[in-house]
Amino acid sequence: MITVGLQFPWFLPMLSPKNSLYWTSVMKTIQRSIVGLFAASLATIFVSTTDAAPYQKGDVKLQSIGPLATGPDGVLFISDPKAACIIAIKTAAKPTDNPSGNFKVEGLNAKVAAVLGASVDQVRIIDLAVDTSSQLAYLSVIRGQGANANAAVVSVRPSGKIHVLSLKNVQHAVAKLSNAPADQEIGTGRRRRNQRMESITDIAFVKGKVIVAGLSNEEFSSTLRTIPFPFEGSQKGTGVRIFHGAHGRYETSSPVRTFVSYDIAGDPYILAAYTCTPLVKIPMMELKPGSNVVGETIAELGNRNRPLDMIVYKKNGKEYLLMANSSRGVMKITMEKLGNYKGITEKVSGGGTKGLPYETVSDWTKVYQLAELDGQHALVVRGTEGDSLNLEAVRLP
Amino acid sequence: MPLRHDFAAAICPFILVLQLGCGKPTQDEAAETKGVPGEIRLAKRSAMPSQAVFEVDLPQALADGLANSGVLEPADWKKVFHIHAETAKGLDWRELPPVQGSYRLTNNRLVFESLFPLQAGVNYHAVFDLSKAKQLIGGKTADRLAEMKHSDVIEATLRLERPRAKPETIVSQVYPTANSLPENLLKFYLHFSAPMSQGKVYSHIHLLNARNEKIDLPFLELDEELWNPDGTRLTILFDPGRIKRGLLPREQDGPVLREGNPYTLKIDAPWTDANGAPLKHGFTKFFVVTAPDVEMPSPARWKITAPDAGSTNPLTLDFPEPLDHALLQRLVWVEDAGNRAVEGQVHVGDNERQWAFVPGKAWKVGDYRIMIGTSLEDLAGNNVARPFEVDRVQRPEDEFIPDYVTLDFKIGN
Repeated sequence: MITVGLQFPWFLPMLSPKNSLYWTSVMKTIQRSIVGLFAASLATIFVSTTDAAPYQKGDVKLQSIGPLATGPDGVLFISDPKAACIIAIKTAAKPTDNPSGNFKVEGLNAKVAAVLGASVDQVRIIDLAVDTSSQLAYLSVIRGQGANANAAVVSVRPSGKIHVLSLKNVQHAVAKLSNAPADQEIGTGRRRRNQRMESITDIAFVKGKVIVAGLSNEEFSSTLRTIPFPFEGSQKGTGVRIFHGAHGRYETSSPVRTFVSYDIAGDPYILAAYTCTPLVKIPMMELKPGSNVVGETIAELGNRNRPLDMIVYKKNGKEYLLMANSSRGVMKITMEKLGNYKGITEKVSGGGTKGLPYETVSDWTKVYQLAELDGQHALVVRGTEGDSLNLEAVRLP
Repeated sequence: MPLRHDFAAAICPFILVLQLGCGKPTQDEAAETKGVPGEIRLAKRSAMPSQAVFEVDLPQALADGLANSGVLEPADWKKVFHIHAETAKGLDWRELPPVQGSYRLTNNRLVFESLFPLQAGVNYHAVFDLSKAKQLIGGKTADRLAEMKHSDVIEATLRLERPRAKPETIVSQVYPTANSLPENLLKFYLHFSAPMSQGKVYSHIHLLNARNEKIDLPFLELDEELWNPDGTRLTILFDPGRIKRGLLPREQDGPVLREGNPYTLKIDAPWTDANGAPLKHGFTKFFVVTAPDVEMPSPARWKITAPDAGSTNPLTLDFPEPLDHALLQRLVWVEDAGNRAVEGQVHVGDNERQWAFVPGKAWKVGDYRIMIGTSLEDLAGNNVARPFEVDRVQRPEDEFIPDYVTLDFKIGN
């Protein structure tokens, strides 16, 4: 709150209103005050602009929905692959100290379908993100098929209460993703269209930046984009081409399936699992616009396996990486030696795996989504009987 | 995946399946102010006829009482009037949370509109609880209502009829179209005649060996299925871990395709389109595998055939090998001497070994340039700037990857 008082000169009461100096003093004082008030207003506008600049209030209309991520102060990042953008929503989530370890929703997909008014076979859960501060879980969901499909974000409380997040008249900011070179429409007139679409395979908020991994439905390429947050005006994500150097010799384009950030000796890194399964590390500082980055293999996870999701956590003073996979359960990798690890530079043969040693957490089965809930628990989406899914807190191994 | 809030016109007419409770039927005009609530019914919403809403007529006293109860939150309304979707057979709808939506009270009528359009074919169980309504309003109105003799709970099971979906959608084409494909083939494009259902595509796509046995996990099963925006084209990638040299999947299982062997790509007919109808028929593509292709496409080796000025004959490019069907349409175009793109239609033929460009207007005499995006790939993912696999020993340290390369040609008389 800004107040501007009128401070008249000390001699004013001694002057008569008929004296011209009286009115000159009054007017100058008022002028100064008006200037002061104006300046104060400007300051107020400037401050509020700084605070509110990233956001505008209005309806968010999703064309599609992909992965989610959470940021500071209740910000939720929603990816919309079809619209090629990331939307930051300022949610009203409030921090809480309530224990969250008993977070459990059985039959998650049936309950989400019920709230959306659809049959369970018409609902697809795309991603899970957790706001650790408010202990709210968010799910990106697609309901229906084809032209009648709807995209939604659903929030789930530890109590099990499920609610579709309203995207009407919300504080939000949008960052468009830059297009690939020569990303033009084809043909003319009614046949004019562009069939290229980039799927968003993962997003995360890391040290003031939103990092987005994408995969094209045409060229076999991988783009990792970094977008400073708060988003600025017509901010477009700057992309780097990502390659994979197999054993220091053969290098190919390598789409990133999932990634997580991790500090090594104070420097931020991205630990990424490629679609072709190697786990690699990429220094954040190398993610500069237009550059070509080659990820260094730190672990090979073997065949018939798809990396699904990753988190990094600390337990008893040591840091670990957990990775959910399509066929090998959840892998636990000790991060202790990662700083000095030189990576795999020789061909792996004769079966088995190479690189950082890992153990499989045997009782974590059918884990499809993984997110950090608090210091002791992860929140997972896991399969049970048939196609039924549970959302539950699991003590970190 | 286009997303619209439209409700398919095909869901009409509304079918009321079952009515429970003792509510008296009412007219579709403004609610009558009889002493008892009316039946629950589905009605078209005037502002958006494609969306149906649930509504129940209320006695005057109850409607007035609710209207004068101040601002009621959706949580309050939900106690009085709740709608549950029967999400799956065998699940008790009473155990599931109610459908989320908004409430309004107009003309003595309580209306519930779901957040998303109702799904045709799903049973919705609607419950109106008079006792909860009385609790909401309290006071004398509730006392007066208490004297009325009728059931406290009115229920109805309602459904929008789902039209029988006819199997009409087909696999219209699979690219590459050639029947001889390299061992390191990277992808297939599956084209459909109408938008398809998404979410479980890999259970419908199979690769069979010479003995007609299914090959285990030949494709990269991405959760993010690679569809085009309108859902009529799906990109299927072979597992790159089994193509790249030196990686564990290839070391352990070998490449998916092996030179000299025949294979069949099979697409199942039960795969449903976006309207829920199965494909009209399945699809098979037979092919034989040739040696791996490790060469980059070289525009210098392409044959340009330029048409005469004044004609609208096509400009053609003939390649010594098939190139990627989708990328040929997007990453090759023509510019005139003023660097303006020439409008026209692209046709890809001869098993993707020919690119033909038919201009929208007759060719004029002059110098032209064919622009080629360097991301243009052959069937094995080798692009114009880089092979799929680069030997880092031979790669220059200061490698520069241009966005495009060009080929010049002239149009003369």
